[in-house]
Amino acid sequence: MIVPMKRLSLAAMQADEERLLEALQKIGTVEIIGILEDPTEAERSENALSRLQKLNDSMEAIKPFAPKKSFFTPQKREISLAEIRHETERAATVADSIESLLHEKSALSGEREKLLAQKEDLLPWINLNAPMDSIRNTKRVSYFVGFCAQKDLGKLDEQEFLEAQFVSDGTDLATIIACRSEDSRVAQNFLKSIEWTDYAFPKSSDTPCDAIRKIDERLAQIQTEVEKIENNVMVYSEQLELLENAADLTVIDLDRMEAKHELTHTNTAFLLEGWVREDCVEQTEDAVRSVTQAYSFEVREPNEDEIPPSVVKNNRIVAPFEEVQTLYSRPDPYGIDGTPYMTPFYILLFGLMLSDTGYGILLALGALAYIKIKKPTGMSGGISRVLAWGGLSTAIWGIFVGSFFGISRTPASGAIFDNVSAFFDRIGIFPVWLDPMKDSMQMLALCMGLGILHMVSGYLIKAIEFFKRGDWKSAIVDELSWVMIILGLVIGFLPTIAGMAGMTVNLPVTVTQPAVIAAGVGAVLILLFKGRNAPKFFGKVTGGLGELYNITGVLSDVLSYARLFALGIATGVIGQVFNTLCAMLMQGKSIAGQIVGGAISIILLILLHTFNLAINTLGAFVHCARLQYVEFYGRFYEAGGRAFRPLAYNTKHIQVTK
Amino acid sequence: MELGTILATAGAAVAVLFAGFGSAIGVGMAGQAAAGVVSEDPDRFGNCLVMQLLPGTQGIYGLLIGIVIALQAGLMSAGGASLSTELGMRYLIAGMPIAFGGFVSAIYQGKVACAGINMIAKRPTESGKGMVMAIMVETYAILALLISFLLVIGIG
Repeated sequence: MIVPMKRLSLAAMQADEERLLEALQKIGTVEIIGILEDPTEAERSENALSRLQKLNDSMEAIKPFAPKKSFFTPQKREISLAEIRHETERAATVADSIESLLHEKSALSGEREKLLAQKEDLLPWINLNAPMDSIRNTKRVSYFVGFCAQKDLGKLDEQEFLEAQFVSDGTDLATIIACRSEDSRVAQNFLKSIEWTDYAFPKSSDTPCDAIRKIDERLAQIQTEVEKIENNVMVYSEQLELLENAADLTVIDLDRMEAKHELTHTNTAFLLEGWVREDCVEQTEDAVRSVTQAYSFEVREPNEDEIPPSVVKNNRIVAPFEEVQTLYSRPDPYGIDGTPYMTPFYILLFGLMLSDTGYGILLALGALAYIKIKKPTGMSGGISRVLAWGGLSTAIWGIFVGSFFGISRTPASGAIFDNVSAFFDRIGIFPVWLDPMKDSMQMLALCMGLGILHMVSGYLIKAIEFFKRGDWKSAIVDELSWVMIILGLVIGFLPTIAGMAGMTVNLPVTVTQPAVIAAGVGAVLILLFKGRNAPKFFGKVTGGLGELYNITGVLSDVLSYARLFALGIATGVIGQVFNTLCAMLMQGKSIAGQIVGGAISIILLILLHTFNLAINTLGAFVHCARLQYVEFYGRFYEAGGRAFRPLAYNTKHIQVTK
Repeated sequence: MELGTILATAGAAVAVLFAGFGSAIGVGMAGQAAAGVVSEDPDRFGNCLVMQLLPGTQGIYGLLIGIVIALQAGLMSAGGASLSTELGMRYLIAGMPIAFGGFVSAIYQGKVACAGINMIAKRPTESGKGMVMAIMVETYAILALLISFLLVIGIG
């Protein structure tokens, strides 16, 4: 259900401000609404921001070297704020040391980039056996250093007054040209007429070859220095937890500082405006009272123009499915929370899509183990619980359709699998209901029947909601009329439909006739009254016709439930195929062949079935969600609520113990 | 060998081939996009991998139909089955829906998955919505799988 929200106005003395905010953050029940910004507070939070940046950079640097967390550590470790605060100094020192090492490293890599560029420049001149500073203009001789294009070599040769020496080859040749000083102007003009690029040697008395050698030496030196720095950084990798704790604490403090910007201050007092859950009002006031007696705590209903955040509250079974709903959209704060209605259908349909007892047990146990060991919270916590329920449902559906890791009661795969089938046959549990391979039409009918139930529930939920609001006209014309049409048509024509699927269903005329009549009444209701709110006569008529045309949409929605069947066989048949392949491996001609084949097929079976389970769980999860979003929520749900973001501990690595 | 047996073999091959082609293209495209996002933010690997996997299911559906055809027509039994031309033709045609439905839907699902992966880069918290969008495309592969399956089973 949707939790009603209250507007809170809390006024208290500034002396108590920090402690009050700490208390509110601890219980995490109040979302603060910003009114004015205080620039002096912004400076303080900037300090915290740069501290956080430093911690994050250091963590990033040591993370690759940090010891791998074992699978058995929970997602967030439990620790109290006091413990972390005690160690902030040490964390800051560590972060400073890491950061100065990172600075050194980035200076070195800057130098390396520069040296590499210089080396690149000098490489064409490596064959020049003269010190670079010896090639400079003297009283009598002028030098030109640069690159000459291959195609202009001929032109260069033709010039009598120039002496050219080529140091490299290729399309652009490194060239040194000498001429008499008095010809230098002419030479310059000539060089402009051909494809010539000037080059200037770096100031150095080395030959290019020596210069390159020196650069290489320095590069090697840099490499060792960088390695030394990396080793020093690696030493700190043990401190990752310390830094993570400190980073989370900084985020907690930062949130509180930012909350302070949003408060209104007078000289001695402050005013906090915010949202609080109706069921947490008392708890919130208790928290305030525990800090100070000098306060004013007022809650009121929100005004029309104030849109509250959307919060839902459900029991332990339903609550995890709120995450599935959030993936779609949060409910309108004045609408309906669909989670309690969606939960039973989600569990039911998820199981039908996977429908394999072996996979179901494995999935449920896996999800439970994950919850137990990793203690996930938020989205991953919700989804792992959803999967645990789905696994349970899958195991039960598996009994109905007769599939255990792809093995059914009828032998199909060969080797040991047929023995298992025979065992199932003897104890007589598989399949007690439907074999999708043989009774595919019945299976399809079951899926669509469940679909119709699902959709009709959607219409009924909306109808009840309209009745609650006192809008009985909409409830009957918009919602119940469709229930009459759908159920009336299904019941009225059930014998015909069943006949098409190869089943015989006999309903007395006293049942089918009233059903068809009910469907007709529903259609007439829609035709006559659907356009009742349209302003013109034309609109009144077409409104009803348009709505009635939606019957095609309803029909295609029913067909959409065929995916339940298709995904079900995809899991079962693929599992069976894997078994068949491994059975072939096991049936070697010699004993040795059988042993080797058996060993390989055990490994293969584990890998293949894990793969099949993983990919089909993903498929079942999203396809089931789609059925809820499109076919079910489309009938009654009002989306568009915004998240409730209370001032609380928003941590990544730790779970604060209170 | 009977022409019917050859046609049935072709049916199984076509189902696996084309659905597999489509999935390979789709997963390939999504993988490139995913690698781009992961290079910026390695923590997104999990989300991106799930998105990359989505267009891969068509290949599995194709494999499923291929195997069901092979089993049903007795192509895997020793000595080989001998089928009439008409029966073989029915197997070939029964393989068509998943072959082409899977081929085209996997490519387009791959494109939606790419867009979804880009969305993960910008708004990591909304990855679920990207997944649902990609799944919308898969609906048509599932319908194709269903019809292929019913047709093959119907041959009996």
